[in-house]
Amino acid sequence: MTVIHVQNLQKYYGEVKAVDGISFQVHQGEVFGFLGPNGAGKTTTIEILEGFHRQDRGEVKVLGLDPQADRYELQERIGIMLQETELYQDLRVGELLRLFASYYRSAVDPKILLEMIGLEAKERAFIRELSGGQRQRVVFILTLINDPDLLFLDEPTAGLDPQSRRAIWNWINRGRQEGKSVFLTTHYIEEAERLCDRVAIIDHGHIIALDTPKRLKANAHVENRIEFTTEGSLNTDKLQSMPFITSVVEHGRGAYTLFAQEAEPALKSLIALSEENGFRIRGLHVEGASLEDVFIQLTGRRIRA
Amino acid sequence: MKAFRHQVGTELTLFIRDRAVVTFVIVFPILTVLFFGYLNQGGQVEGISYSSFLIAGGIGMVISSAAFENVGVALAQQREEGILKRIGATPVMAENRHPF
Repeated sequence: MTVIHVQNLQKYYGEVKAVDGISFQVHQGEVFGFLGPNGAGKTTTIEILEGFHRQDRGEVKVLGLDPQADRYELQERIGIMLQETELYQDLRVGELLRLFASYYRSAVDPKILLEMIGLEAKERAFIRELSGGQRQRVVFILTLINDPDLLFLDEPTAGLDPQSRRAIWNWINRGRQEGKSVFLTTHYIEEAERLCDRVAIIDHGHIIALDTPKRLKANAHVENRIEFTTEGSLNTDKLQSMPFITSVVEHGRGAYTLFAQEAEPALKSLIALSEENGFRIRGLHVEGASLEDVFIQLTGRRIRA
Repeated sequence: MKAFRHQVGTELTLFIRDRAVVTFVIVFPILTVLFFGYLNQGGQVEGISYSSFLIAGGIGMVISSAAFENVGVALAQQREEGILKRIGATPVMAENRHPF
């Protein structure tokens, strides 16, 4: 079943093409990620899906509904986390949750949500007393208060501490198991890699790649990186002549980085070479292709540039 | 209706917890009335006693500052902070088309 259907979506702000003809579908029970740098069109897209803006061209259906015409019906069934949300500073956490619960036809008991996110002790705390991470977790559970079928999360863990980030990631994984669908935007590569079933890489208003993180990496033909240190210096020509090695970088002080098309045979020959020449390998670190490499290859720049 | 009741209750709670607002809407007018009342004891304004004139004016001041000034400031502030946008992400407006 398709929960989000987008066909040739376009949105212009004057001369600027914020979103320039993108199409994709999100299926039920899927965590779908939009990965891209700031200004790529992520927030514009998500806010059109949420019904905040009207698209200039293209077709959008969310849970089978038109986000503009059926806005209120849709909002009963989705949860929205905006990129930045301030809350009523002078309310207590419990009061805020009950207020938002009253906005919906039916709502979850706030206590259950607080427990789920590890804030049950904070029910009577004022919003202004919470730390940044705790506040963001409250913002997150506000999106769950109507037990939505579909969640929109716009950079849910931007600037969060590791504990809060993990709490939100855990819930997203749990929600997926319960059959909920999630559409999230992020500029954290790790988040996209760990959470998303499928990732769309978006840049300048275009989707430039859309697949599972695994297949994105496999198709990108990005090289593996083998880093190691040794005592003294080695003959880089010898390293270079090993099979599957495309390049060798010497950092000095016995530190080397090898770029290899295939990690395993390159490692085997590196070990063979070390035995043959009697040098010891220390601090061996092998890194496969990451989504970041894929991103750089596709867009020609780093994501946080 | 449920949301309307909750929102009114919340706004009243926020009002009482904001000391600056409480001071200007409640404490300051009372002090003003007491101060000018003390200075003009037994006076008359256009045929009515000065105290009646003063208390009526005090009540008017309270109502206008609460109803106009504070509503305007609070709305602008909530808009600026993005609270209104967050509320706009909920279906609460569907109810407001027929709040009662």
